Amino acid sequence: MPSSLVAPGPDLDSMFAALGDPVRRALVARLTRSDATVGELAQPFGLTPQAISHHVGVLRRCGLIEQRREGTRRPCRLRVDQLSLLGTWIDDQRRAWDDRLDALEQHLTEDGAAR
Amino acid sequence: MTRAKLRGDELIAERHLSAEPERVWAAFIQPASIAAFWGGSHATVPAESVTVDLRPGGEFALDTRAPDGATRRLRFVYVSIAAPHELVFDEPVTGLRTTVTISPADDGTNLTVHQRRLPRELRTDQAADGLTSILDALDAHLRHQATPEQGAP
Repeated sequence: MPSSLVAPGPDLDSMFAALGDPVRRALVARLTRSDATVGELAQPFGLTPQAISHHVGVLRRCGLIEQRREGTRRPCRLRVDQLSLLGTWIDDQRRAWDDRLDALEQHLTEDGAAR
Repeated sequence: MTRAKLRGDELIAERHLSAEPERVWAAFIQPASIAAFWGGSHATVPAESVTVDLRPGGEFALDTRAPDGATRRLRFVYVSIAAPHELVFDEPVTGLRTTVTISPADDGTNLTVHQRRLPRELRTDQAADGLTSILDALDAHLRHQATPEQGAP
């Protein structure tokens, strides 16, 4: 378990901030189905490619998606490993509290014995 | 646990303790006790570093010292205090809200820890639902991937 008992850390902070926007959450949800270019993403969202590009940039900078070149196409791909960190973080919280409650139990036992 | 879980909240831990609720409550609000257990097995908390201002809006803070000597100051702000059965506090840095519930049980106490599992940006129900659907879709996506494509770890 990381020593950060409760802090998500800078990577997760930027990921959470990026996912605070409904359009970006929808883009991520769309990319869980398949990779797509900015143009392909723009159509169903009814947004300009420029607006989509901006959101894609935010998601790329926080590590949630990556873009590769395929000739003239630049498909966006969801980084599943990064998204999985969200789940991992919750598990870390659970481990930290389990550990803390073990210590609480021990403390109460010793404290009770000392009375 | 009979209380309905709030949406976006996660049950983090549950524990039966063989001490009466008042003693468990005291452990959460007395600096010497907080110092004794808050760091778990991974960190120590110097007793003199713990400050407790027990009132809504008041702060409790402590230093955690890792085995390598690295020290971090953790700060929490009390949201509500209902002795001896419910303590709610926020960690401003992360936006995490923790609810500790202490209830009498056979020969002791049942303790539960809930955390609002989403940081500030995702606090609205809509955002929480959105993230849930993303994670559900991700699960489905992973199940359909018989073999990872190139580049996947």
